[in-house]
Amino acid sequence: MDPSDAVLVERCLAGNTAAYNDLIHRYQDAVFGFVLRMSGNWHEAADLTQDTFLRAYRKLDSYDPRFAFRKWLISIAANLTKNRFRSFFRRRRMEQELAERLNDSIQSPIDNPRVEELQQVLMQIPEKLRAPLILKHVEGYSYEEIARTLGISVSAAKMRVVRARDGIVQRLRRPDSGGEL
Amino acid sequence: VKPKPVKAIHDALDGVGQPPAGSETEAQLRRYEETLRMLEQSRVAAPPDLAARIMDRLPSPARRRFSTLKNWLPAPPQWLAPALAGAALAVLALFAGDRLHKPLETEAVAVEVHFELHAPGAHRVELVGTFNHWQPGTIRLQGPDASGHWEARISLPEGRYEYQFLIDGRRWVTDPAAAVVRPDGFGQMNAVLEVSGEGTTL
Repeated sequence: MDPSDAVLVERCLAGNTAAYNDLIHRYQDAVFGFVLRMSGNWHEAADLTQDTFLRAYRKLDSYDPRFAFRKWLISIAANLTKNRFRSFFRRRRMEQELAERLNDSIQSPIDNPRVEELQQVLMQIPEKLRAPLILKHVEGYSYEEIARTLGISVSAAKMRVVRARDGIVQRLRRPDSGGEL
Repeated sequence: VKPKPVKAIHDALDGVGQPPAGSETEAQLRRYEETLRMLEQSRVAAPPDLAARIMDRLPSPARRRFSTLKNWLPAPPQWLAPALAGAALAVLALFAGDRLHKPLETEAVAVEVHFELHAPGAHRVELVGTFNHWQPGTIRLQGPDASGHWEARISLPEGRYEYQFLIDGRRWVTDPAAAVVRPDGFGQMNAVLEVSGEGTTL
């Protein structure tokens, strides 16, 4: 049986860095998926995933094993992503760049054009709506967990998810509309 | 036609309240559900070399421990570093003069040790232990040969070591050839290796 996350963390703290390799393999897809949806860019997502795991490693002794390791990693990834978008001007420039680069940056293991279109639509809604939406509907977080992870109130988390859902559904073409928005 | 935000739709998506009534609202709900299902299912895999790149950039365990310790210590005063350097030089001056004239009485002896594992199905076998600070990716075994054996020969200074084999970066295996093993504290066994000039005990 594979050792639990808590056991692997203990091994890391005892100096066995190989145990961290197991944790990376266990959660790299989850973290990468989250930051790819947040950043819309393959290279950016790879960088953010690396930074997430490196920061987690440095803070490993502050990890509380009563909570899921995956959620702890995602909260680090969410904060790192937020920091990248923090400055208004940087955010605006970055979102423009991302929108421009999007077509070739999501190199597609995603071969479904509808899913690709959804990724593009996702990038058109603000980052502060995107994060709660992904946490809710990809990571399966409760509103309380979203609030805790993003440092916002539960009602704000709910409101942002509602606005994000509306935002993507309104922007996504209907499958039978032939281009109608 | 843009769908109007309808509270009943969001309540239904959150699994609360009554399902929305009316064919238009139901159609809208289906559209929301289909979109969110697509979002949920659009899973992607991390690039294949990502884990190795992260492992390459990890700080060494000693450095990590120091940085952890550093968080607990108060910031050292400005004069501390020069004072410590001065003290170290003074100690060095006391002992170096005497030792420089004497050859070292004992030289560290490096002994070649042969490691072998039978793992016919493996794609990669590594040796990880106290001699490489439990850092994977530094000592790879060669193989497999026609009979599925992997092997490595490394030179080690005299001393006592603990190690395990790591198969395909995921599976830890205790050396079946080890005469001495001890629990690693995590439910598995480390092989214990004594290296001395007279001989090596696995």
